[in-house]
Amino acid sequence: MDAIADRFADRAVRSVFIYTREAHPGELYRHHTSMAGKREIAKALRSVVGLKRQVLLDALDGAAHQAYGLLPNMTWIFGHGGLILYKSAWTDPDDVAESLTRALDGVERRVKGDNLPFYSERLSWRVRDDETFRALLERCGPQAVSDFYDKTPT
Amino acid sequence: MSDYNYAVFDMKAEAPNFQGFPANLHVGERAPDFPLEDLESGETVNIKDLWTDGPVVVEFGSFT
Repeated sequence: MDAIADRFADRAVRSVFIYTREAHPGELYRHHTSMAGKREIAKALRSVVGLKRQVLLDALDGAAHQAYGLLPNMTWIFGHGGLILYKSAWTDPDDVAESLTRALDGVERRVKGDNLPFYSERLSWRVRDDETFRALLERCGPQAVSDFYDKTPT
Repeated sequence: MSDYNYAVFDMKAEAPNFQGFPANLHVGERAPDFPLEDLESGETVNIKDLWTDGPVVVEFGSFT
C-alpha cells in the first residue's frame, strides 16, 4: 500500500494507516491495555513493516474502528467533503489502485460535465496465501498462530 | 473496552463483523469523523482533516 501511496501522490491523494487493536494478539505483541502501550506497538509495527505512510492511532476503545466496521484490514477512500468513494472489507492493493483510478478519473470528467456518477457494488477476489498469513501470525507469537489455526472451525 | 481489545482471537466472535460490513456505511454517504493521534507528533488529527486537500486512502490495520 505504500507503493500505491507513492504512485498516486502526484494526483493529490493522501494515504494514511490507522492503527487499530491487535487483531491476533500473541506473546510478542499483546492486546492493548493503555494508550501508551498501543503507541509502543504501533511504533514497532512501523519499524518492522517499514511503513512510510502517516500512522494514526485510533482511541483505545476503537471508536473509529468500530464505526467503520471493525474488520482487521479494511480500506476506505474518501473524496471531497468526506464522500465515501470506496469501502473494502479487505485491503488488496490492486483493487484499491483500480478503484482509486476510476474515482479520480470520474471526478475529473465530472468537473468537465461529461459523466454522471452511479452506485454499484461488487464482490472482489484475492489470492489465498496461507503461508504468508501464517508468517504474519508468527510475527506476533505462537499464541496468535494457535488461536487462529487450532481454534477456528474449518 | 475490554471486549474490543481482546487478549485471545476468537473467529466465532469476529465473524459477524465480516457479515455485517456491507450494511454499515455505504458508498455515497458521508464518512463519520473521529479524533485520532498522529504517531509521530502525538497531535490530534481528525478524520475530517484528511480530505481537506483531496481524496484520501485510509487503511485500517495492525501487525496481522
